[in-house]
This record gives sequence, C-alpha cells and structure tokens, in this order.
Amino acid sequence: MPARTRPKAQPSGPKTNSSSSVTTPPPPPSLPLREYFALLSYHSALLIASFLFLPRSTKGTRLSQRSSADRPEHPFLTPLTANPLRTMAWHVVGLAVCVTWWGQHLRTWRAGSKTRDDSPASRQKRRRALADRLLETAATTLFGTVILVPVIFAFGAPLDSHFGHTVFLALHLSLLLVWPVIHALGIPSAESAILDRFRLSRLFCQFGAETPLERALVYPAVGTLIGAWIGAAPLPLDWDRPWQSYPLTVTVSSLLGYIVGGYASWAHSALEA
Amino acid sequence: MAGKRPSSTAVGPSEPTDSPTSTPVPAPSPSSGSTWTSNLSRRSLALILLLYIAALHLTGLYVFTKGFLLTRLTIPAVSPPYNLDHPPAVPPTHSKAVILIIDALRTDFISPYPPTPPSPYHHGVLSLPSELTALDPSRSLIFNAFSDPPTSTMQRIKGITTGSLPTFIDVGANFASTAIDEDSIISQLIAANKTLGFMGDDTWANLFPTSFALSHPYDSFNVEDLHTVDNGVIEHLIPYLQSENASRWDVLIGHFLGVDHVGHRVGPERDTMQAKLEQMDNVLREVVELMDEHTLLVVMGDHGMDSKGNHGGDSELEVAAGTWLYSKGAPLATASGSNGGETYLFPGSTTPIRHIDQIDLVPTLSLLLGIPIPFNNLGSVIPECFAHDPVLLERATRVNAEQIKRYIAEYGDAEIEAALSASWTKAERSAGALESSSAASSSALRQSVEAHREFSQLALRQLRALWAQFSLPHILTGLLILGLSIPVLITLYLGVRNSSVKWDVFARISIETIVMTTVVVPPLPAVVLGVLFQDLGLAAQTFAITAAILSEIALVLPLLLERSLPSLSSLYVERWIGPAILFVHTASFASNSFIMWEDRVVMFLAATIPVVYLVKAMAAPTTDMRLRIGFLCAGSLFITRLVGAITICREEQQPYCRVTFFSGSQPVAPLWGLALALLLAVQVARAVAQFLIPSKSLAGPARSFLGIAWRWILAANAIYWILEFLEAYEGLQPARVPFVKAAKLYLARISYGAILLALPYYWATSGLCISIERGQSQTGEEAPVTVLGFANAYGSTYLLFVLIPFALVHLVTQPMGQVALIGLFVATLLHVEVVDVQRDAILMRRSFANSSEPGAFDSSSVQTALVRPSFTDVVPLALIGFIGFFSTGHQAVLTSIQWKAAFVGFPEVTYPYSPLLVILNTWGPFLLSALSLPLLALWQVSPRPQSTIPVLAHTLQLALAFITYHTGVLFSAALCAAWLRRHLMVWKVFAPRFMLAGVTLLVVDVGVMLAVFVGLGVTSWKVWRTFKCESI
Repeated sequence: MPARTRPKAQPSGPKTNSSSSVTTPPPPPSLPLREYFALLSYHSALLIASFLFLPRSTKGTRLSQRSSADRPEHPFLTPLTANPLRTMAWHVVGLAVCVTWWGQHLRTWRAGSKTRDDSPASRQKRRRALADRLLETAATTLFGTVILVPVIFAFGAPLDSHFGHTVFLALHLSLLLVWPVIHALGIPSAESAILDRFRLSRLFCQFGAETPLERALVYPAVGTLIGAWIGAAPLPLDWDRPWQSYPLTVTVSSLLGYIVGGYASWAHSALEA
Repeated sequence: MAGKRPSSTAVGPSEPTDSPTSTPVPAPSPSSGSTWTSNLSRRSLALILLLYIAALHLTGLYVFTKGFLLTRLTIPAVSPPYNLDHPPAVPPTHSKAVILIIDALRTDFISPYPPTPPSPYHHGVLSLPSELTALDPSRSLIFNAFSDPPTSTMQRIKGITTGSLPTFIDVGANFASTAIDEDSIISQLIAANKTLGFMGDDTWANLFPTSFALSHPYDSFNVEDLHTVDNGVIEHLIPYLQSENASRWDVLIGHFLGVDHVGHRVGPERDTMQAKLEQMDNVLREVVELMDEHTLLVVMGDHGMDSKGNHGGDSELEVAAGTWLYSKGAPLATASGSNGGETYLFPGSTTPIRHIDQIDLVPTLSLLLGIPIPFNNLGSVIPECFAHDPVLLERATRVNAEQIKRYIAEYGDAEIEAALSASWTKAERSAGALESSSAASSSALRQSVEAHREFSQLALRQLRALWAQFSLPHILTGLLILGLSIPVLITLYLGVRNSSVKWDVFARISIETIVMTTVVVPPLPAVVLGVLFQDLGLAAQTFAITAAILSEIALVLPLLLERSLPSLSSLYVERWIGPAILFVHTASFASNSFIMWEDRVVMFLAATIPVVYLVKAMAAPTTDMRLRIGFLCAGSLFITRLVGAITICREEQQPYCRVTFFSGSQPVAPLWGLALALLLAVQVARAVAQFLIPSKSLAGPARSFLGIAWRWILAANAIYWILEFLEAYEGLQPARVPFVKAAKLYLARISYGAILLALPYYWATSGLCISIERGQSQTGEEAPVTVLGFANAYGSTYLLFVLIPFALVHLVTQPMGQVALIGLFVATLLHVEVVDVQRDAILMRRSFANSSEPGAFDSSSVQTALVRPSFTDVVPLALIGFIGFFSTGHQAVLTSIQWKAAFVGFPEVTYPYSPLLVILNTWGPFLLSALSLPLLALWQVSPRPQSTIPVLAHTLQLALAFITYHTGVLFSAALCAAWLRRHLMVWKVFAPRFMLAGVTLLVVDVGVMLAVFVGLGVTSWKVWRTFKCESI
C-alpha cells in the first residue's frame, strides 16, 4: 500500500493538539486550498485513469464487443465493456490505492502541521497509529460494502444474477463514501464518542459541513451518491450500447460525482476565503 | 374575487407563516360572509373542491381523447358467400394463390426504375419481378402500394386481409384477444372451403388463431436473428409447391422477416441487405419455377423502410411498399401491361410506376380467386386485372362500390353518408343508364366504371380522415385544461396549507370563484353555438371547455400575482425530494425505454425516499427514534423490493425479464405461490395488529373486525384462487369439476356479501377502537379512568375502513397479486409509521429549541400539537400504488388486462359487474393507495375533547398533493403521447401509457373522494360522538 505521508513541509497553520479539543473547541485545521486544488486534480486524474486504463491490463484474452456487433463501439471502449466484472475488479484495485493516498492527505491536513519529531520512538508510534487507522478504515469500508449491497438491491439490482457486479459496485461506492472519511477522521473511539459521533451525524446526516476540511469530506460523498443515483438512468435505455451494461454507468457517474463534489468543496471554500 | 386569499391565519402568536405546526384553537366562528357557501359544512367544501378537480380532469381527458385516440367500430357483419343462387360477379381467373410477404420490401427494391444513382446493396438485387415484367407485361405487374400508417406489421396484416384502415382502438365485441374478428379475405377463403397454409411471422397465427390448416409460425420478436424465420419459411414453402403436395392447399401465405430485421439492425446500405435480397430473389425464382398455371403469385412488402431501415411512421419511404403480381397461366392484364391509372414517382427515380393503395389488393384478390369481397373492405379493384373485358371491369368495379356502400350504411356515421350521397347517386344513375341501354356501349360502361370508382375512392378518403387524422385543436385544448389543472391543484394545496385551520374561508372563496367564472361567461358561447348549429352536444362541450379553462385561469392568477419563492434555507432534503421525484417520474415519459421499464423506474424512485430517511435518521433526537426510523425504512425497502420482483414482463422487456407473476394458466402457478398467498392472507391480520398494539388500539371493534372477520375473508379469497387452480388441475377427476366450480362460485359470493354488507355495517355501527380501563383503587375511592387507544383513536378507526376495500381488491386479484397487495399494505403502514415518527422528531426538536431550560421540554405540547403534512409524505404512497399495479401482473399494455377477474363470483359475463371487477383488478392498487391517504393525517392523532382538530384540513392537503402527483403523471403521459404521435412506438408504448394514466387519475379522484367523504366522514363522526371533538 503506497500510504506514504507527504514528505513536503506543511504550510504553517495553527498548531493545536487535537486531543485538547474537549475543553476548547479546536481552531479548524486550515486546508491549504491551493495545494488541495492541485492534489485534487491529480487525484481526479488518477481516479479516471484507474477506470480507463487499469482494466486494459489483462493480456492474452481475446476481447470482443459483447453485443450489437453492427454498431461498432470505439475500440478504446471494448476492453472496458467486454467484461464488466473484470473491469470493476481492476478498477476497484486502482481506486483503493487512490483513496488511500488521498485519505492520508486528508488525515495530514486534519492533524495540522506539527513539529516533526524524528526520534525513532515517535516514528514507530506514528507508524503504528497509521497502521491502526488503515486497518480500521479497511474494516469500515468492508462493512460499508456489506451495508450497501442490500441498498443497491433495494434500488432494483437483479436479485438472481449479477451478484458479483453488485458487490463490486458496493465496494466501489464504499471506497468513495467511507474510506476518505474514516481515514481522515477515524472511527469515533470510546473516549471521544459523543462529540465525534455528533460530528459524523452533523456532517453526513444533516450535511452541515462548516470548515473547508469538512467540506472536502462531505461534498464528494454527496456527489458520489447523487452521481450514482443519476448513473442508473442510462441502464434501461434501448440504445443497445455495450457501455450501458451494469454497473459501468453507475460506477462512472458516481466517480464523476465524487470529483465534481471535490471541486465544489474547493470552490465553496475558496469563495469563502 | 379570487385575488384575495386569506393570508396565513397563524395559530400561535409567534408562529411564522410556514411553520409546520398548528396548535389547537377554539372552533372558528362561521365565516362572516353572507353568501350561500357559508351554509356548507367543511366536509362538503372539501368534497366540492375534489369534485371540481375531477370535473376538470374529466373534461380535459374527454377533449384530449377525442382528438388523440382514433377509434373505429368493428362491424361483425360478413359478406354472404357465393353459391348457386348467388354466383360470383366476376368469373375467377385463378383457383390457387401463393401470397408471399417480404416484410419491409420497399418499392425501389423491386422496381425496374430504381432511383439514380442506384444503391449496390438493394437496387437491382431482387431483380426477378422486373425481369419477368420486361418479358411479359400481361402476366407480371409491379406496383407501388401505399400502406396506411402506422406502418407496423400487425396493423398492415390487418389492412391486407380485411381491406380496412388501421386505428389504435378497434372497438368491437372481442377486446381481449388480438384475433381479427372482422370479415377478411382469410375468413372468406375458409367459407369457400379453401385450405390455407401459413409459414413465417407468428403475428399471423395470433391474428388468425384457428384459420390455418397448415401452420408454421416463427417468433417474430427477435430482431437480432436475421435468418431463422426466413429459413423456416423456405423449408416449408418449397415442399408445398412440389406437384405431389399441390392438392394439400389452395392458398399459401408466407411471411419473410429477414429484410425487415436487416433494416432494423444495420439499415439498407449494407452488404447484409444485399445478401438478404439475393436470398429472397432465389426463393422467388424457385417459387416461380415450381408454381403451376392455376396459381396466382403475390409478392408484397407490408410496408417500406426509411433510410435508416426503420418503419412505423408515415414518411414517404415507409409507406412505399413494393407489390408484384404474377401469373403463369391466365393473363393478369392486357398485353400492354399496366397503362393508365395513377402513377407514382419514387424519390430519386425518373420513371414513374403504377400506384395503388395497398388495400386495393383485397377486392382484387377476392374477385380473382372467386370469393366475395370482405364486408369491411375499403379498397378499390385494380382496374388492370379486369381491363381485358370492359363488361367485367364494370361489374367488378360496381360490385366493389356496392360492397363499400353496404359497409358505409352499416357503419352508420351520418356525416360520412351525407358526404357520399351525391357520389353514390351519380354512380347509381350511370349504372341505371347502362342497364337501360340494351347493348352495353363502351362509353356507358366507362362512365359507370368511373362513377363507381370515384365513389369507392371518395369513401376511402372520407373514412381515412375520420379514422387516421389527429385533431390538433382537440389535443391542444385537452392538454391546456389538464396542464392548467396542475397549477390549480398547487394553488389549492398552498391555500389549504397556509390558511391552516381557517382553510374553509379559503375554500369558500375558491368555490365562489369557480361558480362565478362558470356561471357568468361560458353559457354565452355555449348558447350561441348551440342555437347556431342546433346541437345540444356542441353546446354542452363548449360550456364545459370554456368553464374549465376560465375557472382554472381565475384560480391560478393569484398564484402568479403573489409569487414568492421559498427561501433556500427552508429547502432541506426532506422537503424537495418529493417534488423532485415527481419531476423525474413525469420526465421519464419522454422516452419509450423508461415507459417500458416503468416497473423498475418506480421501484428505483420508491427506494430513494426511505434511503434518504435512513441517512437522515441518525440525526433524530432520540435513540429510540433513530432505531425506529431505521427499522421501519429498512422494512419498507425490503418489502417493496421483494414485491417489486413480481412481474409479468412486457414483450419489450425480453430477454432481460423473467415472468414471476404466475397467473393460473401460463406459467402455471406453483404450489408454493398458492400456499404463500393463503399463508399471508391468514397471517396479515397479525401484522396489521402489530401496528395497533403500541397505541393500545387493538380494542373496541378492532379485535374482532381484524382478527376474525377480515382475516377469514382474506382466507376465503385465497381459497377461491386455489379452487380456480384446482379446476384446471390435471389430476382432478373430471366428475369433480362441477363441484369445484360451484364451490368457487359460492365462496366468492359469500366473500362479496361479507365485504360489501357485513364489514361496512359492522364498521359504521361500532364505536371507536378504544377501551376503558378503571384503575383498581385500593381505598375504594373514585377510580381513575384510563382510555386505552385514545392516542390513535382516529388512525385505528380509519384503518378498519381501509381494510374493507382492501379485502375487495384482494378477492379479485390472482394469488401472486394477493401476495403483492398484502406486502404493499404492510409497506404502506410502515410508511405511515415513519411519517409519524418523523413528525414526533420535528415536534421534539422544536420544543427543545423553544424551551428556555436546556434538556427540559413541555411534553404536553408534543402530545397535542400536530405537524402539518408535507408533499413528500404522499410520494411514497403514490409510488406504492404504481408498484402495486405492476406487481399484481399488469403493465401499461392492453394485453395485460386480466379478464379472469370478470368471472370472480359470476359464471358468465354479467353487466355491469364484470367490467367493474376488471377495473378493480387493474386499478385496485391505485384505489387502495388513494384510500390509505388519510392515514397519513390521522395516524397517532389523538382527539381533543370538547375542541377541534384540523385532521380534515390535513387530509384535504394530502389529497390535493396526491392528486397533483397523478395529474402530473397524466399530463406528462398525454403530452409525450401527443408530441410523439408520429413516433413509431406511439401505439405500442405512449398511447397505452396515456390511457393507463387517464383511468388511473379518475380512479384516484374517486378514491380520494371516498376517503374524505365516507372514510374520514364516518371516522370523524364517531370521534365526535365519543369525545365531542370536531374535525375541521
């Protein structure tokens, strides 16, 4: 997992220990907007590339257009549409790498810049904290997948076929919806339970994001949901195009929603600043 | 008068206008106005408003339908067969015929004069007809045949066989099946004892299920498959033509689909088309080779194809169908071939070719084969085929004209008859002149031919105008009335909502506005037009249209004047999601794909709201609320998804759909389906009881009503369908069938009696669902009295009312549908509970916010305050109605009507009950959703003794929202059907969807009126009797 912390120097922000937040509300960790924009663009490009190019990695199988041979699709699309299940499998791998990288950035932004203590002990400690965080993020993402599968069923996914497609779609959505948030914020622990839980419910149940960082978490999630909802629309159309196969449209549309959400959060924060 | 709506009569002193609560206030004093409306009770006001809306819908639907739905009466009369006393008018030239239909064979595919530059793929490929015509023009005739739109195969086959024009609705005795029950060439051939053979497109087998002695149908649906049908036709056709098999048939019909499928798949400009046409050419060569001298060969396209290879509309390329007549023996024309007569220049071609109407083949073939012309025919004989003898030509044309005259007289449209009378007189006179002159002079003959031919063609033109032309003024007027009814509904909704408990003042003003606009202006034009044209119907129509439009404008104007958009901050997701879903649902009607898959679309939309609620549930104030919203939403998602899986697939949904609605015959209901229906029927009472137990409302009449009467009626309903299954069960001894039949019949009748007499009587005469508990006081003093079930006195009583129509719909629905209905009823109750919990949450949050001391709140205000309903509350209920429609085995197509329901409790079709039962079966889910509507306003609402409670206002508000939803759906369906009236899918997709929406809207109007006037009326009266609490 390329979950590397950014070696660059952090812009100087308010130096606050986040654990002291019980008594005094922490000044919001400032999101470096310019850097955020640059990395967001990089992140978006990576996400799109993971969908467009990773599924071409399979060699040796003969790829042919799945249906409607008389309406040839662009040859670029054929490896993506020939086998949606394989496309999704590759895409999810790429997506996992991307969101881990992104989540780590969010986490660093949230922690704010601290004077780096390069002693081996503290490095060890940081490494363990990171490992714990990654583990709980992965577990939560899997849990989110388990929750999302029945939700996708409720929206009308076939009950007796395409099960793999549904699971991959759920995993994809969970990676977009759950991973960055939990990676950045962590699961509410026993000590900070009430406040953290209240924050989570404020962010994701009432969509009440207040700081730039919160927006960077909430807007992409909302965008993902709206994108996924809209992405179901092309499925029943009788255009007879291979790219209409389930779950490609939902995947692409939710991905675009995620990216649009990211830029919207940047735009909102930039306008405010 | 309409300009002033009472601004909000806010209840609390500091309540803002759009605060969604209303607290009890004393009964308002009667309106100070001295007008006649002040005497009306609130219930009457509500009913009048709903009646007005229904009248708007009726008027709009009537006007729109008059312009849009083209109907034709089918006449069962047949032309009498020829016999010794009634010999053929013209001696037959051929005893046998081979009729080959090459689907979508456009004129230029066989024309000797293709357009320039010719296409290498389809011009001059099928060259046999032009070769033979060049060789012997008297035995080979090529025509361009005009095929009347819609150029779809089934309509064209109807035209080719009956000689009539296609319309969407052929109103006849046999509405249920697709079979042609009119007189046709096929039925005349059978009456003449000819043996018919058929191979190819199975549409023929559906249209003439019993006519073909030799039948080889092939599935016509799979457009991807270019060859199966054609190869099958060739495989059967060629052997029949061998001389050893010649005696087995008299007329062979072959229908090739390959050319059409190639057109749909790749269009005409591909080498696939060339290969296909070459194959057809080879087949025709072989047929010509094998056929004998007594056989007439007819090769024709049923329609053409446009430049992309599609068809269905009325463009020039689609209506140009190639037609070729060929005979080896008797000549078909004079040696010069076809000369004279109407010609047609194919686009791009330089030499015109002979032009006929496609239906002209019907009288021509009939006379050539020696059978009477079918009774409904409107075609005129092709003159070439009789031109070799002027006497014969005159006789053929006259017989033809007389047949059309008989038809016109039988059809009985006075206008058409009047328009044709002059032409007929002329034809008769020329016939008389011919008869009087002893020697048939050629000029008299020619005159008679011309006069009769003129008559026939005029008749065709007249009827084409009657049947095939949309009336745009009617369509637009209808759309205007229907479209304006939406802002009217919104105005009324906002008015009732904003004036809260004083909504009656608003309603009175609205009603007075309606009456004024209706009484003052509209009678004028109506009377003028009525007197001018001496037509009462016209006067009534003018009155209705002007009254509807004027009153709508008068009601809507205030909305335009005081336009204020809701502030953005108030647009939280619960509020806009409902209107947004309505918008998406209506917008989806613009695409035929979404209409075809509407069952999935509504399931998708219905899942959206609970998921949003689920996400938002975590923000509810208490853990208990969070859990309850979570479980209730998850439950309704689960149920609607499972119920939504029950479907009878539209044919367009294949191959992506599997039929899971097992209707008695095919596919046979599995035993587990029957068992499930019975099990749920017995157990659903328990589930419903679970909704009453928390408020201790399973009291009073509820226990016996629900647990005994209703439960066993549902069981009887399920058993009815098990008996129905048993009747057709193979293992049953035939001797037992009458017994099963009788048992089934009486079971259904007992169930009717119980549902229509016993249950309503019991419900109306019993008290509220409450019980009184006297506390055990140890000291023996005055014991405190507790009223159990008080908190839900309204809701529980109304729930019992809904159970009555539910049982009725349950009875007329087939087993899988019964399962679906029960599931959706539970889902409805879950939704009602969710709405209630959310209102509690709103109240609790508000009282947190209002109370000065944090953590403490006035619990009494939570108990007595009411949250105003919102538009979003009704959307899931409306969607449940749609899901119910689809999962009880219906689709927006005519063929999915379940005629079986007409025989529940009646051994034969009985008017008016049988149609009513079919309507109940089809629209039952919509009716039930409309009747469940007041539950949203009444659930967990406790009466306020000696006071008033705005449940009627809330119900009316919900009812207006609910009707708005269905009006939106109807308007969109009508608009899309009218807009796309030339779309090739209009008669398959858009028009049936419009018809469904139209009837649904009327059913919903009636359901809502019943709910408000009867259901809520009696419930309110019962509450008033017990607690002296007035519903306002």
